[in-house]
Amino acid sequence: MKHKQLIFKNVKRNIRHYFVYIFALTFSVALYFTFVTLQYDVSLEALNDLVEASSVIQVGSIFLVFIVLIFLMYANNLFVRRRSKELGIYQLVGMTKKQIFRLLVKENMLIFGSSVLAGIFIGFAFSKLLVMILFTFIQIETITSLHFSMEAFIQTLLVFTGIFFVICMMNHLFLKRQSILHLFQKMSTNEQKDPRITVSTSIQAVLGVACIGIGYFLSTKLFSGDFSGYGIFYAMFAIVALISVGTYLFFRGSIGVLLQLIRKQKDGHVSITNVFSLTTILFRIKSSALLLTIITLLSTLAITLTSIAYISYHSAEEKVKEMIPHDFSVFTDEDAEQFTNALTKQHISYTTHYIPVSHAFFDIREALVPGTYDNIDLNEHPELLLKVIEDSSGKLAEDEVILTKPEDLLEQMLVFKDSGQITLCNKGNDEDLVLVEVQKESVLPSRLSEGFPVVIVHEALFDHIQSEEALTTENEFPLYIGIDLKRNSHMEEANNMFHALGLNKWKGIWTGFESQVDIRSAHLQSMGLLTFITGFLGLTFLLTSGCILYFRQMNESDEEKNRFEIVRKLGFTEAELLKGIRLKQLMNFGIPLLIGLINSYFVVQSSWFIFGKEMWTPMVIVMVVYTMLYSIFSFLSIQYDKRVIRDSM
Amino acid sequence: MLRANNIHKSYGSRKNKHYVLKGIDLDIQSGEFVAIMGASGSGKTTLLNVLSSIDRLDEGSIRINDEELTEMNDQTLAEFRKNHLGFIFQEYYLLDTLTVKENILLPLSVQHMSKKVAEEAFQRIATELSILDVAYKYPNELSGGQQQRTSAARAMIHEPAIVFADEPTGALDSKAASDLLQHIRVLHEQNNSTIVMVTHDPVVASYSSRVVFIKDGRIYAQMYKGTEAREQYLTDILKTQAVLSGVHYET
Repeated sequence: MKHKQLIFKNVKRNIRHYFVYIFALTFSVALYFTFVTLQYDVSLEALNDLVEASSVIQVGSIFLVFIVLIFLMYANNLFVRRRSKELGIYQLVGMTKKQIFRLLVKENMLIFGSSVLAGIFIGFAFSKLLVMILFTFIQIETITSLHFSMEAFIQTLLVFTGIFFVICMMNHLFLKRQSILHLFQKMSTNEQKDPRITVSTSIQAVLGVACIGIGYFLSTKLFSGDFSGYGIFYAMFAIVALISVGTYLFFRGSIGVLLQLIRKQKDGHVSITNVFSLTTILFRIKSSALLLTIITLLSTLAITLTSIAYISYHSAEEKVKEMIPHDFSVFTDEDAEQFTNALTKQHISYTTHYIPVSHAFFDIREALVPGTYDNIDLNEHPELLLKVIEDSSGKLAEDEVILTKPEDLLEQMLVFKDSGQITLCNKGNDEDLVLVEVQKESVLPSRLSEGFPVVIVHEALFDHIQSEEALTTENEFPLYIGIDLKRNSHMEEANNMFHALGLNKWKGIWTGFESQVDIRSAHLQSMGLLTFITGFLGLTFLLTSGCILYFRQMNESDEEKNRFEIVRKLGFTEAELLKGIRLKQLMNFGIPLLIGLINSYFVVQSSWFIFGKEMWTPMVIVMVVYTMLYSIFSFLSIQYDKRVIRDSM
Repeated sequence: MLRANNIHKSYGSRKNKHYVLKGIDLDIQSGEFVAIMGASGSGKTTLLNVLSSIDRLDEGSIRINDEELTEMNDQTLAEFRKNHLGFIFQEYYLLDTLTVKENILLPLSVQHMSKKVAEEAFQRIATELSILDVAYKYPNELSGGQQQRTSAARAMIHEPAIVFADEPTGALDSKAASDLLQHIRVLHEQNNSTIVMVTHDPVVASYSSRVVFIKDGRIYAQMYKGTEAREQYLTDILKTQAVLSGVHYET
C-alpha cells in the first residue's frame, strides 16, 4: 500500500478520532476569519474618526491567535496520543520515524487544507451576521454590504500555515522522543501520579492559597491610596502575577490536599459516588494542573474584559449626564440667543439655565477621608482651584457650601466624609465653610469642572468671590448657559440646527461637551464597539476553553471505560455510576469556573469605577450568561459519559 | 442454590450464527466448589458469564436462590449481582485509582452498612487473605498474587451467595496460583460459601469439589471429588481431560 492510500484509509476509518480535531480546526479558522474580516471591513471605516476601531480589533486578533494556538496544540496532542498505538505498529512493521513523520505531515496537510477552507466559508457567512449585530449594538444605521475580503483571507491562510508548522514540529518532537514500547503504553494518556500528600505538595497547597489571598487583598487596596504613581502599575502587575501563580499552585497542590484529606477521613470506606469523583480527580489533578490553570485564567480574562466593557456600556447614559448636565450648552449670550431664536422659529419649546461661573482656591482636606488623597499630593499643594457657582435654591446659609461629586477615578481619590469643612483660601484671610452635602448631580460640563468638585455657595459669598477672581487666574468661562428641550422628539432636529449654526465650537477633542446628542452617540459607538469586541473575544475564550475541557473529559471517559466495566460487572447500576460522574463533572467544570468568577470579581472591583457608574448589575449579568454558556459543555460531557457507561458492558 | 435449565446461547448475526451453548443443565448445591473445564472455545467462559448474569441467554432458565434471572431487567440484575454475587476475574479488575482497602470495601459501600461492621468485615477477610499489610497501597504497587487476593477479598467480603471466578490464576505464576487457591479453599471451608470457577488448568481444578467438563457447548462429563486425596483427584481429572481432547494415554 502506498503512503497516499494509507493516509486516505486512515482518515476514512478513524473519522471518529479525527472528528474532534477537525472540528477544533474548522471552528478556530471560522472564528479567526470572522474577526479579521471585521478588521478589514470597509463599512467600519466610518467609525475610525471616533475610535481606532481596527486597531482595537487588531489587538483582539493577536489574543485570538494565541488562544487558537493553545487550543489546537491541545487538540493535536490528544489526537496523536490516541493514535500512538497505531504509530507504534507502523514502526513495528518497519517504517522509519522519518517516514511516519512524513505520513503525519501529509495527513495534517489534508486535514488543515480542508478545515481551513471550510472554516473560511463558515466564517464568511458568520461575519455578515456579526457585522449586522455590531451595527445595531452601536446604533449606527448603515446597509451592511460585506465583501469577501482578500486581505482577511490571506492573513488567515498565513496564520494557519504558521500554526501548521508549529503542530508539525510538535509531532516531530513527539515521535522523536517515544520508543515503540512507549507508544504502545501511551494509549492511556493519563500520566497518573501518586496522589498521596508529599511535603512539596503541602507547600504548594499552602503557597497557592496564600498567593491567591494576597492577590485578592492587594486588589482591594489598588486605588485606596496605598499606592501612588508607578506603585499602582507595580501593584497591578503583582496582582496579576500572584493570582496566576496562585491559581496554578492551587490546582497543583491545594485541591489535591483538600480532597486527599476528605478521602483519608473516610479510611477506605468510599462510596461508589466517591470512586468516580473524588479518587479519579485526585489521580489526575496534578498532571492537569497546567491545563486547568489556563482554562481558569482564560475564564478570568473573558469575564473581566466583558464585565468591564459592559459596565462602561451600561453606564453610558449616566456618564453622559455627568459630562454635560443639559441638552445643550453655550458660553456666551450671543450664542444662546442665536440658538434659542432658531429653536423658537421651529416651534421647539425649551428652558434656559443661566449660570454665572467663577473660581477660587480651596483647601478641602478637612472634608476628606484621611489617607485617600495621597495619590494627588494634596499635602504639598493643598490649594485646589475649583469652579464656584451660586446657590439658586436659597437654602444655603452664608457659611455653608454644597459640593458636587468628583468624576471617575478622582472619586476614588477624593473621598468625602459625611460632613466636614472646607477652607476658602483668600490671601491670608482664609474663610472656613461648612460642607453640608456632596451632591450627585453634576451642574457644569466636565470641560469646565475638569472632573473636580464644583462648589455651590451662597449668593453673597459668590459675589465676593467673583469680585476677587481676577486675583487668582483668568476665568475662561464666566458664564454657562444650559438649554434643555421640553420634548425629546425634537432632539435630533435641534442638534442639527446647533451644528448648522456652528455652535459646536469644540469639535475635535472636546466633541460633545456642548451637545448631549453628540456625546451620547460618540460614547455609545466607542463603548459599543469595545463591548462588542470584548464580548466576541470573551465568547471565543469561552468556546475554546469549554471545548478543551470537553475534549479532555471525552478522552478521560474513554480511558475510564474499563473502570466502568469493572464496577458494572460487580453489579453497580448505570444510575449509581452516573451519580459519581455528575459530581466529577461538577468539580471538573465547576472549580475552574468558580475560581475564574472569584478572580474576575476581585479584578473588576479593583478598578471598575474608572469605566462606569455601576458594577453589580452589569457584572452579574455577564457572569450569569458566562456560567450558562459554560454549563453547556459540562452537560455535553455528562452526555458523553452516559454513552460510554452504557456501552461499557 | 443455582439451577440452570436448557441454556442456549449464540453469537453473531441471524445469517451467520455461531452456537456456543447448546442446551446445558446444571445444578449447584449450596457450599459446593465447582470447577468448569474445557478447551479454548468450548464455551466455558460464556457459561460462566450467563450463569453470573453478566451476559444474557437466548433460551433456558437460571435460578439462583429461587429467583429467576432471565426475568429480571438490567437494573434488577445489577442490584442482584451487587447484593448476592461475587466476582474474581483473570485480569484482577481492580480500580487503579483506589487503594487495596478501598477496592475491597467497594461492595459494602452501597449496602449502607455501618462503618464499624464494614471495618470488621474488612479486617477479617484481609487477614484471612494475608493482605492486611498492603491495605493502603495502590494495585500497581502489588504483585500479581496480592492483586488477585485483593480481588478475591472484594468478591467475598459481602458474603455473596455464589462467587464466580473466571480463570483466577490465569495471570499468576504457579506459586502465587497455589497460594491463592489455598486461601480460597480455606475461606470456602470456613464460610461454607459456594464457588463456581472456570479454568483450563487441571491442577487448579483439583482444588474444587466437583469438575464439570464442557465440550462443544454441552456438558461432557462431571466428576465429584468425594473423599479421595487431591493428588488422586488430579489424576482422575487429567484422565478425563485426555479423553476429552481425544488423546489416549497408554496405561
